[in-house]
Amino acid sequence: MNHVAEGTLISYLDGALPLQERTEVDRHLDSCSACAFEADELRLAAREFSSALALIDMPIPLLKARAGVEHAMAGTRAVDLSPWRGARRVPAFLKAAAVVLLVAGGASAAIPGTPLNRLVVQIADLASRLVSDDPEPGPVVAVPEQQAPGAATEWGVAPANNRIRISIRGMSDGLHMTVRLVDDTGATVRASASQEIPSAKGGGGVLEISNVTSELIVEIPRAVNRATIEVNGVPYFTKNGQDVRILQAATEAAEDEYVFTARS
Amino acid sequence: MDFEDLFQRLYPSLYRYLHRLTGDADVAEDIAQESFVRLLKQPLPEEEVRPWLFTVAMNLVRDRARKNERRQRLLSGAPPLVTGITLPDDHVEQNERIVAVRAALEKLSDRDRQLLLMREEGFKYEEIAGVIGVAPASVGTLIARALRRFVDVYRAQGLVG
Repeated sequence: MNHVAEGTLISYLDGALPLQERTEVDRHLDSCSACAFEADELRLAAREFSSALALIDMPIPLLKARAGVEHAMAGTRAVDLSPWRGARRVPAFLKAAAVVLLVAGGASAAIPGTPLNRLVVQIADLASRLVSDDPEPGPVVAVPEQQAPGAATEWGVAPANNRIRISIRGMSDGLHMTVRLVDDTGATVRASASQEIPSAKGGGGVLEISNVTSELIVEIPRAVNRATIEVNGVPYFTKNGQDVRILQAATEAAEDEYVFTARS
Repeated sequence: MDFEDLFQRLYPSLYRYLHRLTGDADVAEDIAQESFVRLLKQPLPEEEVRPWLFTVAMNLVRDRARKNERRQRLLSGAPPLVTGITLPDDHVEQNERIVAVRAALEKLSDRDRQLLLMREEGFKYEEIAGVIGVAPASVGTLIARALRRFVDVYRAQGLVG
């Protein structure tokens, strides 16, 4: 066998050669140091290229993009989406608004299954828009930064078909997330990009997720009545009927007491 | 195949490809979104979706490059721009590395850049050939040469290692 062409070598390294040709290249590389050197050079170049690309990569804006596609399609009312979604039209975006709620210090709420001593929130009426059937297209609900130290740092909520989609960034190896579904329904949990989290069914079930380091997306059916998402035992998301809240730790919280501000 | 599943599976790859290709996070986001909107209007057999999406995205990149002088600079080897990235002052070396990667990418021809970036996304050679518009038998050779060109320029900047 003559020396192996560089195109064949990279095909060999990429596993793109038919079995017979691959076997021939294998044999040749065992006996030809020049080609083995070339193969090593190409392997190194490919590895260097991959490493270089990793330097310029940015987080994938999956949640924002999904909402953007949904929003764009919501304005295209004449399009028949039946091949993708059965006979349904694109569900219109749920009208939403972002409101920051202040810590009131008065109202308390108990979250099932959490170690909270006290949850201080003031309730806003517009959270219900996330779970309403308002057919009018509207903007995405995007909740800005979560400031609690050491926990997932960025949370976002957006409607998606018949689900509520919660996007969490800033998870790390030491964080443990618990999704609790109080009602008999299901939740689908996905990690964007590299990690795949298996789905789990509810029925009062608990879904445990650990060591997720990429953007994590938790989807909860709108039909579920009560649900919570906790990080290391601290609730960050609650749904109780029509009331959907992202909770933000308040800076003035006393030691051994959790005090939250609700955002919706 | 459910659109939602397709989106979850393919969007990260398409966005990453476009961002690497154009160096512009906003452009990557816009074009990836537009590609998926078009996909919604044109259902396809599942096996055809991914190459179709990348082909549409590439056409959109070219359209944008034609219409926008700034985009054209990005695609034709002009000085590299790093957008959407904010680095503290004490990460200058990291920033230099990023600029070096972009510079080496910009030195490649459009075709070579697309070949290498599609390979990184795990496309088969036949699929790359179809999207780029070259003979399938030539893909390996083109990739090998493009890889060598990239590392030659990248290493010459003295930041590797």
